Amino acid sequence: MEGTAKFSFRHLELLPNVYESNDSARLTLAFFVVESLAILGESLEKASEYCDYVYKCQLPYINGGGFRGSLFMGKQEYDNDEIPPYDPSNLTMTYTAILLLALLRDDFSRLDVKGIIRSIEDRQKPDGSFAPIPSGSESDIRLVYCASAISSLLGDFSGIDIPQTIAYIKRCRTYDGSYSQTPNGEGQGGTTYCALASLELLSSQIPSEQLISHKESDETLRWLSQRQIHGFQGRTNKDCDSCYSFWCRGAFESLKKLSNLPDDLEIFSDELDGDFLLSCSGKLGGIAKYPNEYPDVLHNCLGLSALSMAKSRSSSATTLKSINSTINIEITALEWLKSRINQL
Amino acid sequence: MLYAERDDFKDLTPIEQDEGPSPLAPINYSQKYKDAMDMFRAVVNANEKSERALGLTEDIIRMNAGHYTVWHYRTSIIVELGLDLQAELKLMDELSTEYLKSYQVWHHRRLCVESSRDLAVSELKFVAELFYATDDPKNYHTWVYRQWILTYFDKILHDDDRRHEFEFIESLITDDIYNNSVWSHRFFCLFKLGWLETTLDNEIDYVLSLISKAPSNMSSWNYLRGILKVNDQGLNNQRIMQFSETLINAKSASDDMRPPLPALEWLADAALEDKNPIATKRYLELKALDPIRKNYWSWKSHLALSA
Repeated sequence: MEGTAKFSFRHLELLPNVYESNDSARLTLAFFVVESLAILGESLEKASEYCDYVYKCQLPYINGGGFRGSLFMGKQEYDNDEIPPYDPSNLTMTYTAILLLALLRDDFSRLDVKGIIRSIEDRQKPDGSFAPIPSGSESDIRLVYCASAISSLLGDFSGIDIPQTIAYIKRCRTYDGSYSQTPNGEGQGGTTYCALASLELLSSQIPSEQLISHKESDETLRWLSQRQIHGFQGRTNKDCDSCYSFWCRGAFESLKKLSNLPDDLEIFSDELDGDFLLSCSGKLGGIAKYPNEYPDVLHNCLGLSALSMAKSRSSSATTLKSINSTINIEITALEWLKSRINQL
Repeated sequence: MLYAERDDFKDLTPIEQDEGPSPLAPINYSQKYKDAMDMFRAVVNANEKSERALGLTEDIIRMNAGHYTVWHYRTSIIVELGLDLQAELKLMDELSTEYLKSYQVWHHRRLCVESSRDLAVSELKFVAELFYATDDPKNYHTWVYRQWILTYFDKILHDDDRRHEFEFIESLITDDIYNNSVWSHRFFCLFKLGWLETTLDNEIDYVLSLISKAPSNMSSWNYLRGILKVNDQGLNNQRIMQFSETLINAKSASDDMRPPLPALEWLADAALEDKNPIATKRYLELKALDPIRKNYWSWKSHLALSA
């Protein structure tokens, strides 16, 4: 795991040029790096300076609220009382910004909660889905998850039309028991995680028996159990990919809570999954999508998250810190966040 | 040539990205990207909607196809200058192929297409060819887009177009019977768009004939469960039960001695559904044959015991 820490520290200092094509999602890339270090139990210098950077990406309520992915438009503040049309906040970035601040142990006194709630409300579409930005983009279940996660972290669901949201999630349910990105599509591990984690988070507002039936839960459990091949595949008859070890495990954990399945229920082989994830490790550290590929920050982070969830059975992972898979964050950071948000 | 050095942009002063003293995970930008973004910031700052700004957005998109702000600005230029969407769509043909996995490329393509009814059929043709051109007939974005076309233009499609869609599905299943995206798409056309041209019995026959060719193919077995469910029927379907038993017996007698697990699972789940005590035995058989899922089969056998 030493190489993996070095991989993450290296990327924290400077992301290689290949990440240029993810420029507008930089806070999310930063989250993957900082979360990886937290799972590895590493501590950061400059945490408070990093918090300052994250807050520079925040827009106040009058500019629509929420966080941008970076300062790629070159402006920190806007004078006018409007949402800057070419520099709005992004719902995914708002979600990862809050997680970053928790990992960096910020006190959250600068967090514009009212603005964030406004930025969630602004992004909900008539069909119940959410878009990342106010106009000119896709809207789907990934953003439903971001909206649900942020609302849960802030303890304020007033930015979400809950019945509409739940109806949308249900329309994404497929014939094989998984959930797709948009209604009527093909079921996939990542979108199934988004759907089930959202339902789990929304179950604090709506009784869970209205969210998924007993029979549906059986079908989803069956679909999830089919996904393990060695590591996990994202869809039926596809190859294993390290990130699906996390998405499928996370989906299973949420399903357990939603359907009142026994806490200690296991359906996966942790040993095999652990072997697969380690076979994805690069020579210079870091976890890749597949064996013999270059590692990247997303797969490194989600691979470590999955290893952490498998640690009771996988000897290579025993030193990893625990995570909360529903929010996808190291557990002490989540506790920190909750205690601070409660004091706001 | 860099934008900062170009004569046709010299009236604008590039704006740098100010990252402050401790940027978090900064990206090692190429000189070309940084130069183009510096000029893009200047263009947006001047709110300039022009042909040269359009060219600039294309250059950036080719380096970062996920840059939603650049796409959004490009759209606003096209709208404001009233530019030809056909030309834009032609460019999209190239960019959709090049940046197949970019959400923004496909979203932009929708904007180009949604106001032209006569594009439906040519779009379906483009997407069909794209599956082959990119050698990626499971690409998620391409399927989402195809289903959007079929939904959005459903009312103006003809019977011929619908027949073509089923021929297209058939040819992809022939290419790769394990392609789950095609199975999912067949379900979408039959039951979501409601292009039902067949009876449930016929559809079951069709699926069973394909399962005979690939007895452990989870895509077809899952599809079979799906079509029963959508017709409010349980698993205890006489024909499928018999088919599964025949398959298990034939395979058990064959060289590899390993019965197809999905057939065994069908019998087990059907028994559990009917609270038939034989379910437990079936699940324990599965547990022995499928060690990777031994925990799952244990759980199912536990459920069967307490049923």
